[in-house]
Amino acid sequence: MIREILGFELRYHARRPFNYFFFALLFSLSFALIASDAIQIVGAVGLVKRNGPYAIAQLSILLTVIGLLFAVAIVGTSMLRDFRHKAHELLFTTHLSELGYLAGRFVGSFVVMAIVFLAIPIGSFFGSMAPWIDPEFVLTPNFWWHLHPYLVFGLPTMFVGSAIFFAVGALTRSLVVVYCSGFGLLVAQSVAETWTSSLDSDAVANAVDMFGLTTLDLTTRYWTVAERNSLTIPWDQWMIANRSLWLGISIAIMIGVGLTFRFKAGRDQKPAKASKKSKKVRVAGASTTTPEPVFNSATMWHQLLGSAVTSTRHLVLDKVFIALVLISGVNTFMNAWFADTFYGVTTWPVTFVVAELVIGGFFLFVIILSTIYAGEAVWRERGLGTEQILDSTPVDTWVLMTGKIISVTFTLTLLLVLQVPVGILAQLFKGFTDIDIGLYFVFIFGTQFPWLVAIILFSFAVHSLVQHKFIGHTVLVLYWIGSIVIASLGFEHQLLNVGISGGIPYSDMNGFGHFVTNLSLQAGYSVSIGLMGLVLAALAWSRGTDNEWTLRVQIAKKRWGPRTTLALSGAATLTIVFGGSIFYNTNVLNEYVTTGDREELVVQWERTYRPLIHLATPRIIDVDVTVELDPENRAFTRDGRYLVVNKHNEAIDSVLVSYPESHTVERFAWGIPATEAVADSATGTFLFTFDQPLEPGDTTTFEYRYGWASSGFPNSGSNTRIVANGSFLTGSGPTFGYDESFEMSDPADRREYELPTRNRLPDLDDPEALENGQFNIDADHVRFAATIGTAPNQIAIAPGYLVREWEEGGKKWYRYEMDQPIAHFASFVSADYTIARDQWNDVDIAIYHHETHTYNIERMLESVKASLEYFTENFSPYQFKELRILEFPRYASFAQSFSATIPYSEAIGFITRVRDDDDDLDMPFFVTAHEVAHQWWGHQVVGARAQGSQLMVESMAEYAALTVMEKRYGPSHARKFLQYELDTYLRGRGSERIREQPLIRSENQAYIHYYKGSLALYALRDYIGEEAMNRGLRSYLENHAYEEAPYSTSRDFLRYLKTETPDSLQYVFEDLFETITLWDNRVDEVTVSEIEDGRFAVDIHFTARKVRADSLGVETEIPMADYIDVGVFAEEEEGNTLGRPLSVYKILVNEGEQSVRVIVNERPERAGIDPYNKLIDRVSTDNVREASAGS
Amino acid sequence: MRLEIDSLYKTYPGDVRALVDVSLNIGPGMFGLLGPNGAGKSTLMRTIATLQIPDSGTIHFGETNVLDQPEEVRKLLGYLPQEFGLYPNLSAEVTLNHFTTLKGIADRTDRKEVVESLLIKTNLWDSRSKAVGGFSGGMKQRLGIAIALAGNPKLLIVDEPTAGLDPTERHRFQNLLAELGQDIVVILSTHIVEDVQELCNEMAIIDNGQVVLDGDPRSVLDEARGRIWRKRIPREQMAAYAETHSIISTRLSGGQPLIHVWTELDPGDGFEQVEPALEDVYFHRVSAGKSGLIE
Repeated sequence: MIREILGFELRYHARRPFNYFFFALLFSLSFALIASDAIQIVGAVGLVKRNGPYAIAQLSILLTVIGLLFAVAIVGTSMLRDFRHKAHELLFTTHLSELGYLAGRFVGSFVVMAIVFLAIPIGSFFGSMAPWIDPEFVLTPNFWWHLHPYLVFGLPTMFVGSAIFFAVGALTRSLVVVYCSGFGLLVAQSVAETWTSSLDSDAVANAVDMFGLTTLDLTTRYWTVAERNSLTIPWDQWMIANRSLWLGISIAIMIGVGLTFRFKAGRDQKPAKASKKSKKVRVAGASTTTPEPVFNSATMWHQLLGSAVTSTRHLVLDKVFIALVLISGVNTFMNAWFADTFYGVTTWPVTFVVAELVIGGFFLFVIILSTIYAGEAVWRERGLGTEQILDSTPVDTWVLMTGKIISVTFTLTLLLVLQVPVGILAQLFKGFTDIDIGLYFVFIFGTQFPWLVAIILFSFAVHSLVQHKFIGHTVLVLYWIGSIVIASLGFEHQLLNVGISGGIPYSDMNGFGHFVTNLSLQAGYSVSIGLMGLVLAALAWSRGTDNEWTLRVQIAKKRWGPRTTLALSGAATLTIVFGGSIFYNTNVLNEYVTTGDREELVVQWERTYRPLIHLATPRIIDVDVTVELDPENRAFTRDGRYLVVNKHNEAIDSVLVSYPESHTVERFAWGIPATEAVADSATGTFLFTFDQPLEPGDTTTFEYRYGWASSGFPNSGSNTRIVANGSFLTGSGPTFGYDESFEMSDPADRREYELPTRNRLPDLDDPEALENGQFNIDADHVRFAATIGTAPNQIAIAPGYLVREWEEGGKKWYRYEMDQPIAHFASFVSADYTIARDQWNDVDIAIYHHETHTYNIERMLESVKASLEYFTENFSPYQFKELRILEFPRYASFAQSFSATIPYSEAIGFITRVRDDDDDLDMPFFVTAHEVAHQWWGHQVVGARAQGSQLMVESMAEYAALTVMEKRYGPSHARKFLQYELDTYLRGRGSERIREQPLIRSENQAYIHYYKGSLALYALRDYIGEEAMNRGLRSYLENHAYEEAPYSTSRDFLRYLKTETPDSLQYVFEDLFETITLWDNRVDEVTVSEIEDGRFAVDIHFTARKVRADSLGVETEIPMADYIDVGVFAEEEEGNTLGRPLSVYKILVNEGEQSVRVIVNERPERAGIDPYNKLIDRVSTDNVREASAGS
Repeated sequence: MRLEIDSLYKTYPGDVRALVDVSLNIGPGMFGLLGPNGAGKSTLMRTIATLQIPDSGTIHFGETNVLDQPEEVRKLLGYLPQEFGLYPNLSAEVTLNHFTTLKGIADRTDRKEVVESLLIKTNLWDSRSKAVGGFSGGMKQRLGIAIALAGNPKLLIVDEPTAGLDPTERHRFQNLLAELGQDIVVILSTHIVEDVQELCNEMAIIDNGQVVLDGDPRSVLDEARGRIWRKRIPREQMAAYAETHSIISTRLSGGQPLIHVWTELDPGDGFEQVEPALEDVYFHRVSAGKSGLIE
């Protein structure tokens, strides 16, 4: 019986074109994701190959998820087609058993699904063999790598999905609800993801993810490049837990369906109760003269309103809409609830943060729903069978259509508006009451509504023209996919972005800023194109039962009248006006530049000027600059004078001068006669030759005046550095010499442009590298003075001490002068500020911030003071008399340390919310300390421009900030931070683009110099003690602060620390700094036995292992004789889950299994090896174990 | 106003000839359109109802050219298709109110009056606030006719309205139609011969897209009077009789075939003459040219 049903099912599906279409779709998607450079896969970052097992696993999971949405059609029809075709009553009266029916249908549809989804491994396999792929991106094809994720992720996920769809189908017998459940699964997944990402529980996160993406991440998060390219996903604890859980769930669902499913006519035929005897209320009145219809414009408005209201009622009362409200409500609430969390840092749930995520995050929803709703609205009457009645009524076609459009627009807008109370509720629950309801509506009607209208109009046009529901939807889906792909193919003009809101960054400081014009024009442009679509839709709108194209053309011709011409030309005119305005801005007022153009410019610059790399450059020793800002018009000029000297042993006869190519140069002038040999404004490069070479030791001047003014808006990359409120410019003027750090860096891009491979930084042992400091090639330290003018209501700040402020020419002017040489690295900031001041010894501290951003000012001031205190005491005195923090808008989210001046984004720190429980890391405190530490590490000392120098800058700043934080909050807070750093470092390894380096040779690799850097320095301090550590650091500073060439390197730096290290510990330098070393320490068992004197003997059995990794992460085990902590702990304390330490000390550990006995005075709870995770260990969770009673 | 249909042709893709030279002249009153399934009745009705365009031919309703000015005809039209659905989650009253608006009754009080009177007339008053999704076939059909009647149509087209109704419902429906057929043109298509016999003052039989007969039912019957003969015969002799007589219908009576034949002369052989029923004419006309039996 089952076999017959199954066979029938398979034959049925074999005849459905949809299945072939679906197979083709999955095949081409997976093929394209591997074979095309335009669409990049998430998994294949850097050296991870596109057809390596890891990248394929990720691709396979993602495509399975997408495919599941389509698979609804397979399972749904299997379950429901009997009901739809009203054959169920026939079928159910046969001798077929319910179980046989269900099993046959389920197995049948699952088999079909499994076959169709084979398109993923097959497509990606062939994709990896596409002849045009850069061979560096792929490995030798291995089909098993493609099949394995299909088997372990794909099939189980399909099984879960089918079970759920099947159950929903059996329960509701409604195809629409089954479709919604597919959508619901995705939302549920994203909700679960948001929820668990904040939960900090890997086990829960792993369990709730039915697709296995989290599982893949947990299993592979610390995989190195080499592992990602060679290992299929193993059945580790995460995989087994996740896959078996969901398999169990789906079996449970199936059993549930089997137990409850009964052949019955279902609820769809419920007859209405026979009406009671009619009361004949007004029989007499009924037969008198009845009103005659009237046809005039008033009637037409009534008809329009009536259609809109009825259609809206139909949409809104539908259970699908109710389900959408619930689904989106839950989604929004979760989004709003976690809107304030980025990477474990919590911000205040201010309205723009919530609204941006809740409303902006709704756009995908809007696209999908507009498409579906428009299609349903066009097809509604034909689906219900009402079309003949409706089409024969005396209603204008455009009234019918417009009524529907209004109803769909209203319904979806209602859905959007309903998210507002949900967002507000989340804010209130979080105890935030300063809610700006208006801002929600600005987001809805400013950033979503016009596009919503445009998409609906567009979808109506497509469905009306195509006259086939499924093809109509396909056309629209292809349009959306196309509009994503097209940009990566180099078609980046925003005029091609019809229907997609460009979004708009909001800043409390600068509001919506200058983005409003562009966005409004885009809105107008999209809507006018939609209106053209509306006219077409009205012409093509099907009325009646004729569907042949010839007839439809005939009908359209008949419908074409003067009104049509007027409407179409009106919409076309609007399109031209809006589109033309955009084009005028992007292509006339500004130059239209694509990513490709920009790349080519960089390539051209490198090819042309690289030969001049060895040209000796004069060094700037004195800077005096005047920056005149015009915030309102977004313009500025810089007017400056350098004093330069030839510090080389050879004469300089020519100088390469570079400046930002978007700027207009008014004047470049040397103090000695010079000729302009090259003036290349395309790349922003000049070459001057001196009539008389500049002899060694000679000085001269260089004067410049250049500027930039906004005009209209560019296609992309709008300048956010000069804005109405919160401008932030960097640099002091043009630079000298060929700076290779501006070269194209990505190896794949370089191959594409046939550029030679390059080193990210000169070799650590390259003597030439010592000639330059790591940040500048044209200056060491400079004397600095700046004049800065801005709008009268703003305060403008540059490095230096304020010597004068005055008003002149409608501007407010400030003059800053430095009393000592500083790094040649300046910032110019201007905004309407509120100032918070404080004092540490004789240093003035000031925080210039946005009026309402007072949340963390105290913490930041505390941090500045604590940092100045610790660094002065342990490193060297603070070199300036002031320290200022300046808030700038959240167009960028970083903080950067200039001399005595720290611009600090509003996105980090200012609205960060630190709750006073111990779970929250005090990020404002930490970031501030990090930036203050740069006043020493990066300003007092700078390394050579060679590998490893970030050790003295970023690693030291991170380590110093960690130390200040530890002093303030205690070691358990610091440990939590170190775990975060360890996680980030280990994850970073998998995305390496060229090669992993040890710290001493890191090449501007953030995951190494920040995260591994602080771990290594912290571990070193733990080994040699804080005093020895600081002694070493102090003596490095003493010997190298404010030095000029030859600059010191990481090797020099470590030498000072080695001096402070006893011989027995010298080995740690090799492990921590000079190689990539990892440990794998694990506790196997902890037993406790009480001994005679009432004390406790704790036996810790553990396994230790130590490996060295090469630049791709291939590991080789090495023998070990390392000093490692063993620790025994009592009960947990608040904020310290490890427990109160009873005994922690270092022992000498060799590789392999071993044990140690520790005697403690109190009953221990747990014990372990390296319990604080000071060493780099990929599995940091197995270092500690609960103690069990021993024999 | 009269409805004049002149040489209408319509061929569907795949060379299916749905209408072949159809001409009819229909005056006020009930007009019955008889024909077997697939004869072209619905095509004809949809064409009159402005839902389809013929390949050639003209239709005029009074002064209005139906094909050139569909929007004008729609103002005068009430149409009930053979099969239809309604918005399942809206109530009868809301549905009717909506279509009444569309039919041009814009004034709120007028509309209320029309809707109420139609609900009463179609005996739906008590169910007016129930969702249409829960309606029985008959209730839905009555709501359909209420929609068709909204806006005082001058031309009412009802396609197979009594199909699937129980006898009580059917009766009620016929009365409703009879009441209307006084001064407007009502076209009723059906394959149930009694409907036409009981209700219509004019009729046509359409088969294979062609009008094979039209006139008023009485004169149609007159034409057949004296030509219908019947006989009860043994089952095994069916084939033999079919060869020698033009059998128009066979029916079982007491387990034995009872055949009706059409003949000018007394066939003798135990045949007895019967008073013609419309059914006999219908079977005679639609079976003309076909050799097989109609069962």
